Amino acid sequence: MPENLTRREFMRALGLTGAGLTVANLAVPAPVVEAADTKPAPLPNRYWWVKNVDQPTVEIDWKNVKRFNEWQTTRGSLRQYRGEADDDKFNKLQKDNLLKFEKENKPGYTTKDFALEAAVNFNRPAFKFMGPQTAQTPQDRGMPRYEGTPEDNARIVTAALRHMGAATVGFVELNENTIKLIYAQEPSPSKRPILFENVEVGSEEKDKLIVPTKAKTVVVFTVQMSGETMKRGPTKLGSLTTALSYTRLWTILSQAHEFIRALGYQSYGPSEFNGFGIYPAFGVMAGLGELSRLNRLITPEYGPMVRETIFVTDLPLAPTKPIDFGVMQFCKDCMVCATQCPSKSLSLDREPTWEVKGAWNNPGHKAYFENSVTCRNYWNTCGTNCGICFGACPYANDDQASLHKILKGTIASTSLINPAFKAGFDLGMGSDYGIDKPLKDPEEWWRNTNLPEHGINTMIGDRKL
Amino acid sequence: MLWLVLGLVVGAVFVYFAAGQASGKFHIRWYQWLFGVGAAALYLMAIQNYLGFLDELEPAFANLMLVLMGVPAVILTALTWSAPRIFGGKGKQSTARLP
Repeated sequence: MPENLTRREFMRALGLTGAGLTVANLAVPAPVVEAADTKPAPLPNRYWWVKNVDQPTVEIDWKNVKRFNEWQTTRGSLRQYRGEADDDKFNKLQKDNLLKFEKENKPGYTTKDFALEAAVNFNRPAFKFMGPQTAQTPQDRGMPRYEGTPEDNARIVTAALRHMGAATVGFVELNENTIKLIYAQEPSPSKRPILFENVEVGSEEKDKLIVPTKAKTVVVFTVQMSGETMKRGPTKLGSLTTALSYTRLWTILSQAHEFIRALGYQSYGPSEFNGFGIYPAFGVMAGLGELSRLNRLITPEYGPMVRETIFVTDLPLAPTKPIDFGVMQFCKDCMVCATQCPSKSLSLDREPTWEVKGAWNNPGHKAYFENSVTCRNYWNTCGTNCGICFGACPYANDDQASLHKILKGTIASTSLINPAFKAGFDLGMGSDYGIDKPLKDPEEWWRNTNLPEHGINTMIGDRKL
Repeated sequence: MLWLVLGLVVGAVFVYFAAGQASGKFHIRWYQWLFGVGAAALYLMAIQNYLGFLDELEPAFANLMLVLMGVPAVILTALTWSAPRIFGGKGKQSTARLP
């Protein structure tokens, strides 16, 4: 460079240097990223007020927890619980009411609502105990299976499942306690026992399901549900919330099985609807949320607006811890879900209890047990799966207003002002909300063509692109 | 964009009063700064939560936010203006008047 450099010469030289550096960058290969990063897994950030705890906020007496049979739930034994005569009566009532509501063009029960529910039920993948088993494994290609630390594996499974559409992902190690949360027997009519045996590969047989004991990590994940349709419950428009969520959930479950297989490992999951294990219990143990007055999961990010499922795998995965963000305490003062429940099926007691409401509940934990029979009776009356309690929950919101995070952060820190929050919520909802009618007008939903895909906001939880 | 504009407005108002204070044009007491900052924070929170609840398609809660945060913001603004007269002391002429 000349000693007496003019400003123009200096700028030209700067430009040439910059271009040279750019070309040099293109020519030099980028540093190779190691496949198995040994650093601790940076799992997705949670809100600052979500605390990891050693024991979940629901008290569990593991000695009194037994492996439960899925068919004992009202899904499998409702006819037994309410008697044959009542069962026939309620089933007929459901059929008659649905036809009557459609003929009356009742908002939420119109032909277009029926049509949308039928549509979102379409194309659900079939349940397979070991997944679709179609993906090529590394061994098929003569390659070794994927190897990573449990933390690294937890990170890649979380990233993969979130990319497939899961909202949150957690991991529970199966031990002498947590294995009790796997159903002893499958749903009706098969009622096949789920057995853990010391075998190399599990199998699905006519009379039993066999899981190898080496598959000792449960992967539990959620998908988000649309609050906008759920708040239109107890109508058909409300009930398609869960219908669409299940379609998405089971698609992701099949893809997750394939992902694990393509890494070179095994996975085993439900072979029927609600099969395999108690999903909310695993959600609590994995720290995806807390048990609530709904006797279902409430998550910090999406409130109760999630569906869950699980599978087990022999891929080593670092477990995630339960969380405490004050929900169990808040539920003591709130009670909105229980007061809004048309059939009064949810507990109105202030404190949770060890006493179950019926044989459909699994004892051994201190919870707000629900009367599943009266709940189901109301489902038959309204013709759908209701969902009023989910829509009414103060945690069922989109987190767009900053007040939500301020309130949730405060609730996580102290329970002293919970009654004031509840009073404010009642004020905002007005005096005429809930009880036997949608929180929001179903016809208004059909007028809004600007809602996000699947009706969910995937940026909730401080997600970043 | 909205928050850029609001940030510029809040910044301009602050600079206006801070410069006026420095030049002796205004005599703003410490508690007026306190009330003023509080009012500005409440205005911003009212706007954010009003728009946030509208995004959540909850107009009733949006209006409630205007009342719960907007009304205290207006009261604090009025207090900022009139505080010297209220707290100025008996028989003591306040010089803490804003334009």
